[in-house]
Amino acid sequence: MKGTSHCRKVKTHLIEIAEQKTDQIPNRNELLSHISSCPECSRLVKHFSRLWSELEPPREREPSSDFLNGIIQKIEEHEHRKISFKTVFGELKPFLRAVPLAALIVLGVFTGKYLGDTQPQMETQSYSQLISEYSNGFEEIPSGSFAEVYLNLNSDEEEGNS
Amino acid sequence: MNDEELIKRVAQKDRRAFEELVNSYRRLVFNVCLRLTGDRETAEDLAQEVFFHVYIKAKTFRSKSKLSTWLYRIAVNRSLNYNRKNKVPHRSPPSGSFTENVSSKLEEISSPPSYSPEKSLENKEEKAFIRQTVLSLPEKQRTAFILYYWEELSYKEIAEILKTSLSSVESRIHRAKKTLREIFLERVVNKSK
Ligand SMILES: [Zn+2]
Repeated sequence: MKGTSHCRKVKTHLIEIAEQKTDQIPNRNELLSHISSCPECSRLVKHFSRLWSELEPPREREPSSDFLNGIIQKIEEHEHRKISFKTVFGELKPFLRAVPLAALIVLGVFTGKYLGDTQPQMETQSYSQLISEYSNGFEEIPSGSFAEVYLNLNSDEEEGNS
Repeated sequence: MNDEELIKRVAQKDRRAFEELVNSYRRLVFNVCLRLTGDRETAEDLAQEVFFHVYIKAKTFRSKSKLSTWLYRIAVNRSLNYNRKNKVPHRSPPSGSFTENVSSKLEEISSPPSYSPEKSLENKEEKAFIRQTVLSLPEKQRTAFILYYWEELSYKEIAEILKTSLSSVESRIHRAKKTLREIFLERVVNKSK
């Protein structure tokens, strides 16, 4: 039973054993003596340590001989793009300044036209409506009444003036 | 010329200083990109992008941190972005055998061959298995693990590069080791059966 619990403990501390950093392991000496006496743990530690040691940093590689040229090319392309943008923008600058002013004038003209077209129309409409309502009132005057005689008299005078 | 002066000159678009900077740090930047992506061509493209970024943004470098830390940070970020966009690496840990594609990719970062053909084959397979296992770790664990074990940086430097706390780096490496222990143990047990 003791062997089994030690075997389990060995498995949890395999990395420390492989890296030979066993100082922090509780009952370290007991565990190490178990490893040397238990063939299963001893084999496990040997194989695991070998595999773990392969985790060493991979060999450093060199980038290609064209590495620096590639970067310089990127930089030159970037600077060329920046210069051509600046040139185009510089040439367009006077026009770009005039654009907001022109837009303001066009907007003013259109707003004026809109106001001029819509408001008088509305006034004319309501004025003619009023007149027709007013003249409808005259059609309802009973015939032979004083008002009718007065109106007829008035219209004769108007015809005479013209 | 020290690093501080070098980067100051690069900020003034001094091409000679820039070439000196590239020559001093090309191996470091290229190798970290290679270790994080596992592909030589990609690593070269990414490393070139890192230096291009340095040239354009040299003015923004704050001399509070080391130049190498800044370079590491840009290289790590670029490599992780590349991996995310291209769904690299393969998320499942390796089983007994691995595909030719992965094997050849991992060869890019393997050690020089030994002279016994049998040993060499076994060694190659073992190394490829290890590297594939490392690349299959979750992103945060893998990055911290590679910076600690393969770049041999301190926890403090890793925390600075990844802009995280020391305890977070410790925990990432601890979890990575635990995962690797389980996978390696399984392989050792299966091989001895
Ligand atoms: Zn045992």
